[in-house]
Amino acid sequence: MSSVVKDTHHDEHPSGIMRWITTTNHKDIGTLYLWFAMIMFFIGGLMALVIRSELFQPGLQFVDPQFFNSMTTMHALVMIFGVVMPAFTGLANWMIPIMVGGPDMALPRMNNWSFWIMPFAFSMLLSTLWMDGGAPAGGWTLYPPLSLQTGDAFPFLIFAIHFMGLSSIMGAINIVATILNMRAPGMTLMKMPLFVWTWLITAFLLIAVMPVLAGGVTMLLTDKYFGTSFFNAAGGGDPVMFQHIFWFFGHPEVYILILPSFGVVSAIIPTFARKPLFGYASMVYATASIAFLSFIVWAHHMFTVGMPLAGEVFFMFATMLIAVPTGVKVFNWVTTMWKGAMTFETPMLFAIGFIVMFTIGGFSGLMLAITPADFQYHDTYFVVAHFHYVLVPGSIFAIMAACYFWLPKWTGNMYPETLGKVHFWLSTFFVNLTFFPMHFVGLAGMPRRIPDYSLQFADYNMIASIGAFGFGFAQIIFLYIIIKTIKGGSKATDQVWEGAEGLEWTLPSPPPYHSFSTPPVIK
Amino acid sequence: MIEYKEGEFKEFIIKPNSSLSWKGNKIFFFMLFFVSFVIAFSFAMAGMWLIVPFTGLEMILLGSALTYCYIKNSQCEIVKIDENKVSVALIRMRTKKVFDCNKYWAKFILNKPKLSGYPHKLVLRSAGREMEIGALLTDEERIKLARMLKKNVE
Repeated sequence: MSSVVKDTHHDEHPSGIMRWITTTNHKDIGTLYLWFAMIMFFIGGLMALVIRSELFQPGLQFVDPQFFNSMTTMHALVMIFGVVMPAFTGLANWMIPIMVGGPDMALPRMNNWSFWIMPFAFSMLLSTLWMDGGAPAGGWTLYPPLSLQTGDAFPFLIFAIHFMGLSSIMGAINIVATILNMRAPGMTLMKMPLFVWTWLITAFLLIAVMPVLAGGVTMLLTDKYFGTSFFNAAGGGDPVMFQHIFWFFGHPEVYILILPSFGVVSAIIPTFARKPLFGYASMVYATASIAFLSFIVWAHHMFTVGMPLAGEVFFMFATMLIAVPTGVKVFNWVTTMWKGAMTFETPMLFAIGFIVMFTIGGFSGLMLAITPADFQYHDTYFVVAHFHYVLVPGSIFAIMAACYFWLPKWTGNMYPETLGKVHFWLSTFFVNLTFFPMHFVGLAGMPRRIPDYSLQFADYNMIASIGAFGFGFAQIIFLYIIIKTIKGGSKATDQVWEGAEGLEWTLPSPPPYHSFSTPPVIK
Repeated sequence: MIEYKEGEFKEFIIKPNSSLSWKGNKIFFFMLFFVSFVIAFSFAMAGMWLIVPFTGLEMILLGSALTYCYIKNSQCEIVKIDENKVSVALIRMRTKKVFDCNKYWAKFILNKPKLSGYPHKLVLRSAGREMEIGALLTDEERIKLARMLKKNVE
């Protein structure tokens, strides 16, 4: 007596623009995040090229100082909130449900919202470029009283930050709920891939620090428009307090930008070394240690502001302590490669590039941690070199490595390997050409955030600008490779890479619209 | 997840997979709650009280998300099929609703979605009454369940 009314092919899904607007599918939302990050990468990159064009030689060439400062501010905001964070959230959306054996994210509708807030937030932020008084120009740190001098753009900046924060919080809550509640039977916490672990800890950090940023920027807003004096010394407030608030958010934010990279590299190195990851448990504990330490080091950004000696010593040693768990990670990656049957496909090249250049950034970070030395380095190009080594060949290289690593899984097509390698070598050459000379000009005393500089810094700045343009053009190859791979290419197998292990490689390439209809068995 | 047992009667236990208990979710929530409010109140004591309401809002969102997951994951449906009867028990939190019908009048219908990509709807229909089954499953599982149920009432 029973009947089944027309059993249809269940892999169908809405097509056209509505697919992307209404989607609650984790893969679609992951794709949206990744494309958004790619678009913002080129927008933020163009801003970087404006900066480097102006700094190509001493004197004012192309832009006025106000616009130059807007470019440095907007470049940072776009790259941090619009590129690295959405790219990692995109990777998390795509990979975490597949890696833990879940059917989708725990809160799919909220997932859709958390993505679609982003384009509005960034439209609002970028629209400030055309406003009276120009775009925000007080630096991404928004220190008062300078940031309070921003023109009409100020409330737009604050609300854009609120929206970005809301999106990040919603994304983080979704990831936490997914990892905790959607794991397949047998997928215990200590069996989870490290990418999942690093994201769980990153989400914890995001949830802990985002309200601090939200509260801080809201107090800036009330100081400017509602007559409060949280940061106004004339009204009994304390402008230095804003710096504490900002960096209490800002330092964990640095780890929010780098911890998922550790997860990506920890997936790639064992695959191409054809060996299990050395010291899995120590990697988990090292990640947790880094996250904990990130809460107690914020004032190393403020050594020159003025602090009690005991405070300076505490923050110096706490900061240096981070080198221990980070060293454990680098040691484990190198030991995983040791005596492995290594091959050097593009993801592996980017992962090795990450280890080498992130370590350079880590060492310059250690130099900056030394309080008396920091008095010399503070606000110079040495700091610019340091954080760009951590964020470009660090986070950005890890994102690129992840794209090459999982692109065949996502699209079902292999990317052109030779072009991938060309992209890696050009990127590596030009990224070093851009940022390595900044160490020298920084040590020689060139301040950051200036459109003009003394003649003695001219040669290194010229080299850095050439490097920046080279790096920028190399990324067009990346875009070309991605589009070409989406459109076609040789078919990828389910496992894709010979040494690949994990649930994601048990699915077909590309995976079906709904990943695991029944929970897989975890050995 | 569909668990199938066969004894005196055939039993299908339909529930979503949940990897963390409610207690585990509560421990995680209160850990984050504690950390977040220690941070917020520390700043409030220095006069920066506007961080507290944002922390509160965020904790409401986190708590709601984890509760929603728990409610979604604690749902359970038990379909029993014996010689003459089909019985469906819907267990939602602490409530239990039972729907009984004669096996010979019972009809399991898998409705195709109006728009492709949206989930199928599996219903049990009998003597003018209808109830949905398997809403907490993935679409593939729902289609599989429909086939299994159909086979068992034929």
